[in-house]
Amino acid sequence: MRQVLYTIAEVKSKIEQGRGLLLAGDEASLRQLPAGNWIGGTIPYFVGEAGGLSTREKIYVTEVPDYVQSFEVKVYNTESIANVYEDIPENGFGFIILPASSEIHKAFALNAPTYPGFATRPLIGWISGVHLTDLGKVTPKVFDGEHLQVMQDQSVVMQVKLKSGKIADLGILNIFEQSAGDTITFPGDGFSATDAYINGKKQDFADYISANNISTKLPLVADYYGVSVNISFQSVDTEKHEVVFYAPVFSGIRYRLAKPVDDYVKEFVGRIPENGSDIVFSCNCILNYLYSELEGKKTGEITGPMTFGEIAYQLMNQTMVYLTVSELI
Amino acid sequence: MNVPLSTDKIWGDILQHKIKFDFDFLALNIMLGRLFLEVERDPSPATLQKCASQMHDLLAKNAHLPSAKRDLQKILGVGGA
Repeated sequence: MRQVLYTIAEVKSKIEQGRGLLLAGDEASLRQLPAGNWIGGTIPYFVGEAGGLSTREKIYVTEVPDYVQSFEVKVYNTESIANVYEDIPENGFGFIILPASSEIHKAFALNAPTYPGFATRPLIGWISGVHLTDLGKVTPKVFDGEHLQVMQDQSVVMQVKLKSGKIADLGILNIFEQSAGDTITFPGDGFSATDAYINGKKQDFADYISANNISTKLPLVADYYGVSVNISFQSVDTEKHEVVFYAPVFSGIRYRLAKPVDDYVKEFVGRIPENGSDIVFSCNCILNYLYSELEGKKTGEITGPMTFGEIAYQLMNQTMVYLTVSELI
Repeated sequence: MNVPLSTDKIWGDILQHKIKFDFDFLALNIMLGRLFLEVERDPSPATLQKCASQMHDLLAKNAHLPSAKRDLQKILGVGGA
């Protein structure tokens, strides 16, 4: 299996060679890197070549492939992020990193489907995070390596143009499916909810979860024309009557709780796409890492950072997202 | 590969659940998940045409992708122009 985790010295060397790099690592590691053709985000959890691990010393490296014609690093704020899809080159892809819990994370998650050109070009990426022991003490960051700019409230994107004859496409691997249980809808869009409609009847959602002993390790799942899209639970507070999610729920979308999964790794490996060798980048969710105890375990040949949210056109939760580049036939 | 015109009846049939496909192109599935909501909230001809144009544009821009090509073949196989 190819190497994906590198020491800081090794990454410095790659930057000094002028390589285009997409990086994921602990903030202290990324801050030691010199200026160059790279972008990055903070996260210390990975599935590396030897399996799942947490490390603050090593950096996950995705090299921009040689068949890329050109690339450009752009920084977006809560206003300009609306242009992110239209800025993607005609034959290319965008690679985006947003800091978790920031205003731009929320703006993108809620509004991406209304942005011009939504989903018309491949946009892949992830939500940066922190070590779980640093939650509430340290903010997630993104890095524009060209200008050595460290940001906690903006998004960094590498807009990539491919050489002719190459094509980029996105895929997801989501082992969760809707159960046959209650249909759940929400009165508004947002990262939290007080009330929900359970089979059309309005209820206090926190009470519903508590009364039914629902495991919040399983996400809510929406069916997007045959594709399962998850919303993960962050917290349930019956006193405050509030349920908080890692991605927004949308009014009108019909959700159901996910079916339980017995063996994440077995299910995951059984669904790895046939074109796995074309995968240029993939990332998976920190919740899959935690709930499925992936530390020390391999997920086939698939590697990547374990993130606070995944992006394949729009924000996903508890899902592996991947970018493939293949020959135009 | 030809993409049916945005005025073709096939788009409205998909958006109104008169015909169901098993699509491969992830972007199309995600977009359809959203467009169904729009049509459900406002099933007017103007909304239907706007949503049809969005589907058409998505496939026209991505007709070179194998997954989009497969989906277009499915659409064309049932009478799209």
